[in-house]
Amino acid sequence: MDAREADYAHFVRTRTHALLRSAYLLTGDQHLAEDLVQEALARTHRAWPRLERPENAEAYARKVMYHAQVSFWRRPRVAEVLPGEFDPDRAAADDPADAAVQRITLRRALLALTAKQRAVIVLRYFEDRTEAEAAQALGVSVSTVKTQTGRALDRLRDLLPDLRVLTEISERGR
Amino acid sequence: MTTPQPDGLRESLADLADVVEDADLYDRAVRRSGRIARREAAIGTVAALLVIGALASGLWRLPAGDRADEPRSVSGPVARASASPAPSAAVYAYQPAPTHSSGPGTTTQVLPRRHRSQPRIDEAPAKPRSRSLTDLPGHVFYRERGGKPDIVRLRPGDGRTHRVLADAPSPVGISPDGNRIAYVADGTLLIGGVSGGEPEPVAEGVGTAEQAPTWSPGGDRLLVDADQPAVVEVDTGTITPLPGDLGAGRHFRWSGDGSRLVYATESCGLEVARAEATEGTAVPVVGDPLPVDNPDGLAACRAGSVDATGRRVAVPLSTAGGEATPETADAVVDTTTGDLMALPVTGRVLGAVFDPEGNLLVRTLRQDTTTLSLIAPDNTLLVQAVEPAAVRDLELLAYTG
Repeated sequence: MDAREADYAHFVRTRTHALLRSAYLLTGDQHLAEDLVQEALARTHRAWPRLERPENAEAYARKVMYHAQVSFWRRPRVAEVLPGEFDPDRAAADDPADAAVQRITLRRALLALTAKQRAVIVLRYFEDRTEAEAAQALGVSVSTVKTQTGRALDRLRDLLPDLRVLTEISERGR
Repeated sequence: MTTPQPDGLRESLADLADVVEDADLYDRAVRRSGRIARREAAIGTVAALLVIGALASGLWRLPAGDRADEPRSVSGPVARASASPAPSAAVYAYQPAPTHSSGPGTTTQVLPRRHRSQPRIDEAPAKPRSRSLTDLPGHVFYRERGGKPDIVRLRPGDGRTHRVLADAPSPVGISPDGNRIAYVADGTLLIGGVSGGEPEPVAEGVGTAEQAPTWSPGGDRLLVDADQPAVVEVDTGTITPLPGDLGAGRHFRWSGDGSRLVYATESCGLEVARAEATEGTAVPVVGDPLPVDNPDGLAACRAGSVDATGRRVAVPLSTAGGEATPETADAVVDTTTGDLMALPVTGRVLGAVFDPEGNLLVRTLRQDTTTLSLIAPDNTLLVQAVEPAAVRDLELLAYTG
């Protein structure tokens, strides 16, 4: 293995888990997340000679991952939520302090969003990106990010009316 | 503008992300990278051949006025193909677009402006040889919308319609000669005559979820869904599964000469296989998940009908953000390049079907009028006529030229 390939292998083995965490939120499924990250890493491998620093590589991989997830329509890209599986009333009746219940409920609610809405939620509130950074990652305008974020939060509020995770505060200049 | 409480949604997302298990994806990623490299090399070869072919044919000598409008001219994309072997740049030269004479001895091929998520529609349609429906040969078949549809045949010669099957229990296949109809009822493959009579059972254990009964060009075999894609001999009922990797495909269609199978993949891409092959070759662009290769997010979850050689396939086109998969083909894809074919028609395409000879029947809607246009394999507009009102609310199913 030459030095360049060794660098790529090191990048993959140190950053895969971080990529998988975002991919899991995008897809709701371990295997789909692995497929998505695999595709992003493969594209990064193709571009590796042009990438000068590991930070560039991760940014490139994430951009590929978000583009692949958002801009292509394909049925099995996210885990399925069976009819009747999502039940806000039942979720609300459960103990909100129960982390496992909240995790399952949030996963189902995320899967009820469109791919683009889910992507902006993950970028803004998991990866902590600014609206401009999220727009760049998705290849859309800032206004589109704002619109999609608003719609996604409205949808999550409908789906998760009693969960504290969606308590609103005023925007303070991000 | 509001934002969720950081300590709420952010922590919950982080907590949910903890569920994912770590995985070593190095080997998988490198293997996938190799496959991408091989595909790019193949596309680059095609692009180089296109450039050589264009230079040899003298296309580079097109008038300067035509080259100025680069996206609509053959010469521009070919020039770009030499700089970038991306499939979307290389495809234009293959387009059998209609020709328009701009002066003695000068012919320019014109491509329409491409709108996102829409098939190309020619902006300056050719003049048809006939505007009379009676000049449309063969029969046109339609189906009602919704479940258990009636199947209706239109005879263009006199404009009369005839119901050939009431309450079809499954998707149906019309034989190439237009005389027989195949469908499935309670797992039994049935073949009946379009003029009436009792249908005859041919085989058991047949479904239609991923394959409507599809006739071979000779009318002696049918592609069916028998837990996996399979071929049924009409005379004997013998079922033979498709070999090798073809078993993973769906919605197979034969080319008119029987030499190729075109089919959809699970991920809404298209593949082409020789009739005797055990695996297919991917059609570029369509279904490719990467925006750099598929900027419009085009996908086709089923194949509709195929021309005589397998070079072109009519498909119901899906696009990025699409909510549902249409059933009726509304676009034509070049299986070599993956690009959409420019159609010499105006209006919204409601349906497009090939007959076995490669003639394309296109149904369009414009200003509340539906029109049938018959386009020859060389893209000549043969017939363009207003469709009878009796079939206005039906969906185009098949055409037997």
